[in-house]
Amino acid sequence: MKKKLSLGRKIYLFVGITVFVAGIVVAILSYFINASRINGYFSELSVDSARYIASLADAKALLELKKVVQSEEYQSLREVAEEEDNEQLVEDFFKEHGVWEIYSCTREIIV
Amino acid sequence: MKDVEYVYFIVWGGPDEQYDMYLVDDDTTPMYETGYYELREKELAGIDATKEIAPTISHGDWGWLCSSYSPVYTDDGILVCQVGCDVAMDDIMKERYQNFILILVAALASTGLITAGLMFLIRRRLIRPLDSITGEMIKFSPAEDLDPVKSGVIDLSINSKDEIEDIYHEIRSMQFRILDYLGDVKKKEKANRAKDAFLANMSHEIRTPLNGILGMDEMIIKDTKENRIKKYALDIKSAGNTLLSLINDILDLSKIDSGNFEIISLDYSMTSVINDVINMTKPRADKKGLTYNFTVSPEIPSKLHGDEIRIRQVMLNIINNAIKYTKEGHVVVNISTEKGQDPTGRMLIVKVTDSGIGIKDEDKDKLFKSFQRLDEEKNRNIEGTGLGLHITFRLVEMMGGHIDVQSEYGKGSVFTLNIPQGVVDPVPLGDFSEAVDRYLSEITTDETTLYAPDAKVLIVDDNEMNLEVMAGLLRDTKIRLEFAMSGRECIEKVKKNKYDCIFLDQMMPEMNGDATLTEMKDQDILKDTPVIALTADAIVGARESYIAMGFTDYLSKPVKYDVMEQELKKYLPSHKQLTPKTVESKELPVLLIWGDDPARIKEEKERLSGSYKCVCVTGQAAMEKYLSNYKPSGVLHV
Repeated sequence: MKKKLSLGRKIYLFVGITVFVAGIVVAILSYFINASRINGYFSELSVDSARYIASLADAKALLELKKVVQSEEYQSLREVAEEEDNEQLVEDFFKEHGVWEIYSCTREIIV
Repeated sequence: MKDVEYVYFIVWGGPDEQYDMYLVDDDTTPMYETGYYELREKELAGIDATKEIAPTISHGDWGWLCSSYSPVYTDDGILVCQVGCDVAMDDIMKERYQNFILILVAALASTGLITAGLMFLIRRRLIRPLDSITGEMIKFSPAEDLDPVKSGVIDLSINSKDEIEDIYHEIRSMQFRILDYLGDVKKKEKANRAKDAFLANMSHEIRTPLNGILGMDEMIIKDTKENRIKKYALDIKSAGNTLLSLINDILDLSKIDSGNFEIISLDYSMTSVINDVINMTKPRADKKGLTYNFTVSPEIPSKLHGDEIRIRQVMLNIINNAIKYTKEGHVVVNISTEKGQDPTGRMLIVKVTDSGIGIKDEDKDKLFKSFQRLDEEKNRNIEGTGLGLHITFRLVEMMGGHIDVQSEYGKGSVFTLNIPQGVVDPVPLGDFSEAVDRYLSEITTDETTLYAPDAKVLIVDDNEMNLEVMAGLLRDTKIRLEFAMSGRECIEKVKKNKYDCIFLDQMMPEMNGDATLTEMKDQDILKDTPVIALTADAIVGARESYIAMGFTDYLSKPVKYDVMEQELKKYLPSHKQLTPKTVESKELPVLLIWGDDPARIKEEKERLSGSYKCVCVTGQAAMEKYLSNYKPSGVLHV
């Protein structure tokens, strides 16, 4: 009788594959558990930071700034300033519309 | 604000709006970045900024970021914007991948190690033994001459192409071999049954005429007053008994060889066995002029448990052999016991020393083989078949013992039987002569001669001579005998008469004993009448098989008067068996015969029993004991 695969080899293969697969599964599980905990930590960190900064922000002032920034005039100016890489134009515009202080204060909070 | 990469104030529309607006960003971003843009990030699209936004983790031009948002409301609840906060995750992500690779490598390494360990164990505990088993089993080549279909071996169709299939094939092959072997066993059993049947027939055919010869001879011995005729009759008896023992030997050997021989252990008195052995061997030794010494250790327990008949047989064989092969000098028998392997039993040791011809060293191996006679030329004149020692050897072996032989050619031999026996009564035998006297006196008081004129016995046998012998043997008992020569005649007689006992021959034409008994039982005509099987079928186990058939007991042919008398005493109603005193008053005068030689006493009893009611005892003590209880008409010392 021709032996295709001896019982010993079959058992070795079975044990080898089973243990190998088990090892891989353990490694993957470990990776995902680890990733999930890291993601959770970072999410919490970023949410806390965002809330903290939001609590410092002056909503009324920002509302004013928003209105200025939403204007067509500012949009046109912004494009020019971007083309020329000239921030002074924006600063002047904000100062002209009385929101420069709000803008810079808010930037300070962020920084 | 540790670890925070970017913070920005952002406004973006609801799900349908295409644009978002950066209101304020950190100071690293140019101011002109503040304003409308196409939606910056894919993940922001479709998000309703008026609601709580879950943190997102994304990877883009800025690397890995974890982004969270928090709304900014005015006091009257108007949402102004969301504060976005991005935390860089590049480092941790890099670390995470490194860790994963590390874990994977560690897992693979550990699994590799575990696998190697498991494989080592599996190889050691399973594969190697399996290989060995397969290797061993492969040595059995398949029995190709057997047809699997006919043999009934089911093909399980195991085609695993590995050791399992190898083992399956070998088991299958072994199944064929076992079936083959069982077939042979069945054939042998069939042959053995045929042999047993042949032996039973042979036994019957030889014993039937022998029964006639010995029975008639017994009557001649009883009736004749002429010493010359009596001597001839005694010679016939001796020759007949030799022939009978030869038949018994052949039957025994056959049974032993076929494995049907049984050792039947019962309680027995050692005194009785030794006394019988002495009585049966001493006359031969005396006749040859040998010095015959018989020493019995006083330490032997008085009652033992074993196969008394076989113990007696092996002792007789060994001692008779010693006497047979000793021309002059001595035969010394020493019987003792010692502690055996079984703490509750004893090892019976029978040592027989002779000054006979001895055994050559090269012949010792042949000693216990069947049909082997040693030194044939020298021993041509010594009678024997070469079966005795072989049977002795086999019997001793079956009883769990062994035989030791020491011999010097030309000088003599020492045969030692070692047979384990159970102990029933540990009280030592003490002085053997006294023990024999005690034993004989007990036997004598029990051996009242049967006299039952009121008893009615039916004897059924198809052989007229056998009926005549039985009638002759029972003549002095005055029992009223009736005869039937067939089963049918027996049934007719039993229907009409009430018998106290029936002796029923087994081997009869037309209707054998078994069928006759069955019919009588079916017709319910027997009532409580004991039926004793009378047969020449004397093979071992015959008694048990006849009792199993429904017979009350069994009597082997040639019928010995003593045995038949014992049977009748056992089964005849006691009120019909008269006591010696009654006999004395009604019949012959009582003669007490006593002496030291049992054979001589028996001879005198047979000679005088026609004229006297003979009571025999051995030894003076027994004689005195009898005389203290009874007053015989005369006393004869022989």
